[in-house]
Amino acid sequence: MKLKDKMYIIQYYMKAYSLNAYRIYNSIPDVTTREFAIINFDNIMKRHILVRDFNSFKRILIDENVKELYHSSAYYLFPDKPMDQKEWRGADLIFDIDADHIDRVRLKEVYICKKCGEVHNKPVDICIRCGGTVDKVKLIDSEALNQVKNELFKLIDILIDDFGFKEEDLKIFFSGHRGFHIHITNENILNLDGIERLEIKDYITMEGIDLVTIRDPNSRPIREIKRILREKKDELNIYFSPNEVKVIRDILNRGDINFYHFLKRIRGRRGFIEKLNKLLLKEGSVGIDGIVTVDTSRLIRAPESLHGKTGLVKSLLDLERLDGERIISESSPEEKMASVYVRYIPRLLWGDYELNETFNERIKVPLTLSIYLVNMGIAYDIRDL
Amino acid sequence: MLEKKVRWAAKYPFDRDAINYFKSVALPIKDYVTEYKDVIEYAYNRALNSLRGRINLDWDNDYVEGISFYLAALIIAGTNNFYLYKRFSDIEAKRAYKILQRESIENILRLSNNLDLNISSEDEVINIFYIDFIRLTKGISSIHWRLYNFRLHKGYVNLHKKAFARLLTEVIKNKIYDIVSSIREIPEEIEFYSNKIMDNVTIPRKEPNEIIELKDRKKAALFPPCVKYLLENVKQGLSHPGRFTLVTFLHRIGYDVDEIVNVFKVTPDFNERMTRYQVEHITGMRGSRIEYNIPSCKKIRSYGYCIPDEICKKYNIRHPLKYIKIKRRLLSHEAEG
Repeated sequence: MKLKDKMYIIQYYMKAYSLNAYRIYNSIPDVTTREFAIINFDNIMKRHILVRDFNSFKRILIDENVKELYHSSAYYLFPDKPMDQKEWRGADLIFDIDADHIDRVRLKEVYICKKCGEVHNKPVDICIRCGGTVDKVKLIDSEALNQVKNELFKLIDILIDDFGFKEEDLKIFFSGHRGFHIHITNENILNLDGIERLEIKDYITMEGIDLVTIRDPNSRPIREIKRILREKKDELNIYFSPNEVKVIRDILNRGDINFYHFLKRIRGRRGFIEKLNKLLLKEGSVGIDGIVTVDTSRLIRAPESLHGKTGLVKSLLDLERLDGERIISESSPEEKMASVYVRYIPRLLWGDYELNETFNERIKVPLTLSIYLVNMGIAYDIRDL
Repeated sequence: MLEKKVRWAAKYPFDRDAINYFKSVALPIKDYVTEYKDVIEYAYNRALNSLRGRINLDWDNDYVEGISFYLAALIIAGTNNFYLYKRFSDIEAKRAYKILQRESIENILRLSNNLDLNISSEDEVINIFYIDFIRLTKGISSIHWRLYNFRLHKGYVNLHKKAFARLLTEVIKNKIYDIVSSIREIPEEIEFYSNKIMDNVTIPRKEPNEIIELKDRKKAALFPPCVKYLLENVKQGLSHPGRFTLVTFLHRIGYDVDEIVNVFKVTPDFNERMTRYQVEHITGMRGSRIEYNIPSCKKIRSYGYCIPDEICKKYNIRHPLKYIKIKRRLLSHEAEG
């Protein structure tokens, strides 16, 4: 990144953090019991920070040259002591949905040469211009967020219908980049340890499920596999042998209870069962990053703070009005436009701004998009209009 | 009425109603040791049989059956041995489970209520809060008891009578353990029996994971999938629990410190001195001298490194070393066959 762009971006973050400081501070429950961490513009992380009050919080934001801000999901007696002396007193339950963990979501890709910075629009093994090695870079936009949103809705359904959380228990955030975070601060879950949280996580990701060990015909995995098989009724032969397809079609035409007993009946046919298990995992699971849910002393991005890549805010979302365009617009700290020189960019939808495929051209885009493109290495020389 | 009360107390002596009942009718301890010697003998045998895994479901006298539980608990408490506390609780809970299986749903509900377990029921289905479910099943390692195997609706897991009885057994086990371990004073008369128990049972010394020497180091084919995954990813750098798992594993199968350090040489930020120091710590050659055990499968799962294969699932593997044993057996069968 050019120094001039780096300075521009630092200015942008400093302004946003100083304007947003109070909002960030207020959106974190039990601030004084959390461990805080920051990443500064030299990409160095500092952690084990204690925030005593708003003034000390503001001081950190100003003095530390903050790019990204994190706090622990956990509550501690001594947040600033080393890990083994912090005295854990519980942790929020966190879910992290990231486009990167969901096969179904397709992100736009560009290929950037590590040596000369050339941006290619098609997959290449080496840089066409200089022969250097090439990095694949995936880009997020409003369309991609709309796809990830389906995953979010699936997760919310499970949390409400199955686990019995109330809608007001769930704080739903745009992560600032490729997905969503849900924070649950409900006293029932505060003291769950990692192994206990694992049961919740696996229920959602369906990891390790074996359909033959399921105990209830009305359990979620049975309902899901039935739904999946029905939906894929006409393409079953991709996954199953002709004989298996015939058996499945046969059973789908019969009633509900039958399916459960059917699984019991074919329990000996491991190959068949494994194919069903795989299909269930692929199509029925919700793509969360499990380790975030299981880890009881995880550092998570602070609400209302900025993402280091996009310059967008991790903003609280309103379930009623959730769409990809809105999310990006409402997560932009500044609404103004900027101009930037783009090497190559595929068609992108950024909030309500639509950008067509562009090669080597100076263009006017929303400021946040210009920050994102520069951070990703596919544009340079941001200028105010 | 009274008969029913005593009957219940004989079946479930650890339950609230039973405790209240026996509080009102129990005699001073010394009476059982002097005047009603057959009662204390009965209790002694109950304790001893429990430790040997034997359950008696056939008794003549409800009162003696019930009171013998308390005397047995006193005798066990007098041994001051946590292993025996646990063994006694396990087997006594198993006894209760056997009885529970023939019990009506009303009685099952009554018992769980008396044990302070919050549940509700509808027809033949019993609903338990998922947090309680997760906590109670933590002690059950069978994959059949993973949450996703059940129907979960609005925060409640739906269970049938039999499955619920099994879960209730976990509550009972904890309750009995609490009863035994909260006994502070052992009457002198009882100590004699506690000592007799100690003379008559063998207490296994807690061994660390057994060391399996894998003579032929090329036999990486025997490694469980999690360890293979860790080995493949050493290059990218492992998280702390990942490194810990790998070091303890390699140590237990007979790698020495040099060999373990070698494995980590490919790490991006490899520092031989630091790595050696950490390996020596984990293998008990430094610092606290604790030779750490390989984490269980459950732990590894919580680290996110569990990628179970057919063998893990089929044999319900709970520990990485168990995997090696089974795989070795399977391979040698294959070789013979």
